[in-house]
Amino acid sequence: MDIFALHKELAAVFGPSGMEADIALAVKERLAGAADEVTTDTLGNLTARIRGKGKKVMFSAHMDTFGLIVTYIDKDGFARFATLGGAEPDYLLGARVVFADGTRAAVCADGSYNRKEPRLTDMYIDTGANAQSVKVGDAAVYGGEAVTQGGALISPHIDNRACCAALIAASRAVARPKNDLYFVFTAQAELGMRGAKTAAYALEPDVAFSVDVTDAGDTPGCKPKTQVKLGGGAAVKLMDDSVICHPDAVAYLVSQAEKLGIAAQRELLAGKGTDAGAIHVSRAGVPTGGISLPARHIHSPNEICRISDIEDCVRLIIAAADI
Amino acid sequence: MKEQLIELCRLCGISGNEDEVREYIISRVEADSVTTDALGNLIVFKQGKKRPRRKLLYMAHMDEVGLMCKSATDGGFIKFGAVGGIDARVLPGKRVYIGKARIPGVIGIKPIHLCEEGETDKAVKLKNLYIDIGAPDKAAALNAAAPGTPVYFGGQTRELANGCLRAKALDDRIGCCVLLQMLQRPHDFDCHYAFTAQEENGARGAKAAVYSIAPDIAVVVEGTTAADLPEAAHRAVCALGKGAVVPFMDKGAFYSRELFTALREIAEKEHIPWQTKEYVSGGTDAASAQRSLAGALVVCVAAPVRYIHSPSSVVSLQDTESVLQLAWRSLNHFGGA
Repeated sequence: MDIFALHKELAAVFGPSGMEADIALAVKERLAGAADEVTTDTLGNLTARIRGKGKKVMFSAHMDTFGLIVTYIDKDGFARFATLGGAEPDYLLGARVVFADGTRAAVCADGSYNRKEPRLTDMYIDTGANAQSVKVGDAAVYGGEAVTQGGALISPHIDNRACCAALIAASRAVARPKNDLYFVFTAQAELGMRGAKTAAYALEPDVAFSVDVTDAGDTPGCKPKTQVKLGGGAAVKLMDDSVICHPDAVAYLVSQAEKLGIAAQRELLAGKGTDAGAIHVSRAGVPTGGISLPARHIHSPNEICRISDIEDCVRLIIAAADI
Repeated sequence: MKEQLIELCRLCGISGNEDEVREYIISRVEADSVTTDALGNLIVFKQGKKRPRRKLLYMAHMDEVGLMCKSATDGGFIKFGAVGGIDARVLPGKRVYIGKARIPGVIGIKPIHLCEEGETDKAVKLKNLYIDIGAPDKAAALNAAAPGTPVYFGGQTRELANGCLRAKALDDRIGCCVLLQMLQRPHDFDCHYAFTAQEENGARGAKAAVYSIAPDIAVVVEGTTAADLPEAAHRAVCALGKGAVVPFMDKGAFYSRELFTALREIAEKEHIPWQTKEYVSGGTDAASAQRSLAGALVVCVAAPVRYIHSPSSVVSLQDTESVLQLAWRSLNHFGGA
């Protein structure tokens, strides 16, 4: 299966932070045959192991997506919400969302909404009817479909289902690995890398790589400006707000990319964190690196990346498995 | 339960100074083992008739929000900082007590005729307030209130109409009281309890407590903010008199769906009044419990509290009763599940 089709399937599965059961199952089905064992832990992380004699290498990609969670429903059926993960009100306004049971709805602004200082508390979800199916505590995610055109991918859930697809593709490609490999699909990353923390503790890896999206700096007037661009290949993480990657991990990724002719670029991400942040300080510390997929408009209903960059990430993950 | 809650609220223990509360609990607790750890958490074990499949932990924090002396002015006024999240708007004119000696004082504010134009329209800031103990000068003030001395709210505990109670420190002496009540009863299942320190400054005690206990399931018993005031129904969070609050998430944790659903079902089945939290705010020890070691399933049962983190918070005793009932029923359910 090609990487776009795999991503499209995964992106269609409901799974905001804290509610990863369905996506864990979907990932598990797609790992069949590739993994020696697949387990789920207390927080809902899914771990696929491919046995090898060498080091214990952990790859993590979070499988939860950004979402909204209903906090209050008024007598007319309009729902107030909080977010599961960070969001710009600008991105939410007018977005179409879908609940676990398939109920569709629009995100709207009420009369107190101030366009200059938008607040989530001045917004609501409109199901178009007194939707009895929606209860306080129910969650919704962006409801669009993943499409590809001219080598680009437009999807509401590139973060992080494109990286989940990359991890699945890589796990299928490493048949008899040198190292003992653990592909961990983590829960609750959007709420602050919560799943990765307990997964790393349980696993106690010798070395780890986090696979996640990173902000591309190639859009008009983009702030902060970065060198990362779509089509530039897999991004080797140097640091973000949660981690300074281990120099050995960085050096290994850079040298492998050069040796194998994998398109790669260097990445420093400001204002955000990844699973690497939780993993590298687990127990007595874990040398940790990051393989990032450059994406635009992250946490908007229409995230955009390049298919070729996902493929480069797959190649770099496979190379990293031999560290 | 009411009498014990009143006793607990009269005790003083801001974060990091929980001794008085801990000593009270030690003197009342009925358990098989009671130990105090390095952070001042009280770790309790109660043996039941059976061993549960999953190790159970019930937690409540002993500390309350308060103030701490920082310095004194030449004129003998004491400057202070907040311990825990305190809205400075609740402070002016309030009675306080300083340190073990409980030196009485009042939180002073600049008189109205000294204010600049427009100043009274703005919310007061902590740095513009001071504590007046009647000290004549700086040396006398520092002698009575050395930097680092805890300051306690002086809110008088009183029963209000309609089964409501007004007190300081309801957050989280409610939880301590519920746990003590549970511990009086014979248990079907083994259960661990933690009366934690330093919750109000970031769920710090809980980190150590949960690390040493390593539970599979952690149930946090709390007081939570009720803003059931005339304005903004969708930001009211929860309401007094509507029962135990079972939140699905707060800023610190996304509660286990399994346990959240179980508590909801127990409440319905046993006719225990319950509500959920209709706004995402605050955080609890669950944040630490969920993500310690290889992780634990967490859930919270709370009583709605108005004017929480102020010298005079208000709870409905009926709600605290519902919290006790739901927490107790959940122990037997989780023990057998």
